Amino acid sequence: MLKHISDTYEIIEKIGAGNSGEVYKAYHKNLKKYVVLKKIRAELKDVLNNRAEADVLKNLHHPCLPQVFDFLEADGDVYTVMDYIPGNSFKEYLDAGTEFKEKSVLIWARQICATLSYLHSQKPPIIHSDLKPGNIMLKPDGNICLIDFNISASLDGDTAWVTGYTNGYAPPEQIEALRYNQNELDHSLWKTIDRRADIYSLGAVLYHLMTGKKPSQDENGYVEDIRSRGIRINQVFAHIIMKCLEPRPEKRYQSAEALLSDLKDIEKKDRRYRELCKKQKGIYILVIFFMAVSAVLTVNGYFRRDVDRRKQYEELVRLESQCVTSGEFENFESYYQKAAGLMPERLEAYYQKALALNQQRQYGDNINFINEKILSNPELEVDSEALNNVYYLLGNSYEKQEDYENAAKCYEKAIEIKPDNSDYYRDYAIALAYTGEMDKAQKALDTARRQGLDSVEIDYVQGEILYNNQDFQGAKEIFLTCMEKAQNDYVKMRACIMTCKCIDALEDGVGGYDEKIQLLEKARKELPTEYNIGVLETLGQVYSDMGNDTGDAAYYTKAAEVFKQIQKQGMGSYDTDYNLVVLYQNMGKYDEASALLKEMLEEYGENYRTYKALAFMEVSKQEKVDVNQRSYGLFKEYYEKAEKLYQQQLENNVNDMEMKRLKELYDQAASNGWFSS
Amino acid sequence: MGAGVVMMAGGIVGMVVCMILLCILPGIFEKQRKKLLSEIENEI
Repeated sequence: MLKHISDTYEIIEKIGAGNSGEVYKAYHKNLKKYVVLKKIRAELKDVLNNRAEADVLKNLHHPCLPQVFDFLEADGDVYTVMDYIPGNSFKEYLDAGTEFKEKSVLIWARQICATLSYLHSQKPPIIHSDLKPGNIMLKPDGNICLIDFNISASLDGDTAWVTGYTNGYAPPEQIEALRYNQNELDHSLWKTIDRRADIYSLGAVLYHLMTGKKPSQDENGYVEDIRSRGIRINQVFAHIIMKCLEPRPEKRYQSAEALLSDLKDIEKKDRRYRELCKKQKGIYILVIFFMAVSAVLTVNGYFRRDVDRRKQYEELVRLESQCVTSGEFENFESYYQKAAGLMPERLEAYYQKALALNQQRQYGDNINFINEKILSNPELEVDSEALNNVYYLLGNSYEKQEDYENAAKCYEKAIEIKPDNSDYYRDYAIALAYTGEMDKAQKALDTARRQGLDSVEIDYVQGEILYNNQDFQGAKEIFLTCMEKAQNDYVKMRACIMTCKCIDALEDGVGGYDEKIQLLEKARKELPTEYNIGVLETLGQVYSDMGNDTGDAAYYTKAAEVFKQIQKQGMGSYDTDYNLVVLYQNMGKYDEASALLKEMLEEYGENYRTYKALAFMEVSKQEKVDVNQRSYGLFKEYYEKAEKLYQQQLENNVNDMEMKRLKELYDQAASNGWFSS
Repeated sequence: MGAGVVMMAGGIVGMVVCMILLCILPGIFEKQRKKLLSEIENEI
């Protein structure tokens, strides 16, 4: 046994003799610390001398490896000088029958694995090749330290020569390689092992630490499953150990890093943990799926909402149009409000409303409506080219109000937008004729003719021009011809009315009743309801005038029947009702007149004409009772209301002679002191 | 109320609920995992 190696080291004792050779505990005199001197096997001596392996080992710095200080030669042998590691090897503990806790084994397994990973990551890599409980020290601080790794001499590449093995811990390929190498003198032909040999050895060490028994291989190299050894062990840890102990290197962990990763994540490899993660992942996928479905639903709903809105709007416009066609306007306002509220940017609902106002002969309201709600509506998103019908309707309302100048302007705009509509030219020509612009009217008429306007219509317009030229006889003849020939009910209706006007003009407004009644009654029978209103109004007026002229109440009754027909057709207006009131008064039916006036107040709101009629009726009523029984209190009330509303109307240049007559009556009653009685 | 509005409202509610779930689930799941890891660790 060595006593001294140079003057630096004093050998204390021989502490081992393993595969790698003899091991001595020595005292380093200069450093004043205990060191270990380890003899290098003869086979590796040359390698160590010829190569830079010495430097590689010296440069190893790891908390679980002893620090190599030096290499020295003594008696022809090469020794490694390294740290002395206090504590006991696992072999000593196992020999003493110590049982280790799984948790501790797992911690050591991670430390050993990390150390192997460090060794294998060196350039060139260092293969321990003799990992076993005897080569792993358990230090007093509870950490481990790998010793005896000098035989793990590294070679070029990732492999190492096999110079020995320890039964039970060495993998099958190491044993086989050694058997082969023992019979092969040429080192260059020796079989080698790689880092996976260390993985096997680590598995074997862990197997031994957990079971207390060294693993034994069967004839195929397999080790009995640790789970069947009747010990309590985590299933994942058991699986890791058994994977390390696979006889075929390619089935083991391919690197210490991979093994370390599994050891670190051992809890995360647990079946319950994996199931939980899978479940959580499933929930995430489900939530994201529902979110995507919700997003699709939202987008779809957004576009569907537009479609629904449009459909609803179109349905409301259809209902509006139905009201206009049937002349039943009871629900019209509700449809209009809903449609305009739903899509205030679209024209159709407004246009139907304008049509409805026009059909109900509320021409003044229609003019205001079209100007405010269509032509000056900033919300309306409509191309000006789509407004031809609106301008035509507006022109029509102006014409009915006898504002022919504005009517002509509107027709002109309608023609600008749609120059191929002969109806526009027809009405334009009529409006121009009324304004006295005969040349322009004739031009418009010529254009209408070129557009293919029906010849009867041309004749009609020609009649209008003659009428405006005060050639009433000529106009009358044309209109009578038109009435006979016209296929268009509108033209027929207008021709009839114009004929009556011509008769009025020829008769100076007096007489001609029979002729007018004959014409109007004929038209009343022939024309459909949507075109007979003008005829009925004229007829009612003629009967009323006849009643006034003849004093025959039968004409009032006939006139009342005509106005009631207008109401029945749903085309009644304030004027229709007012005419009826006047007729009731003339017939002495004050109660019916009074009831109708009150209905008018409810339906049309307050109007000075309504109160005026009420006041006149009250006077008529009082005139029929005894002078002493008369009471003018109601007359006073109605007059004052009428007067107040009339004053407001005066701003609109209204001049009502009947109001002057009513004032005289009021003043007379006041001066006679009839209000006090 | 049209089907489009119902769909859109449902979709928005669904998205909001899913967003809330995506905000709170990570915390809940993390706690569950930590608890299970601790249980497994204690078993070893």
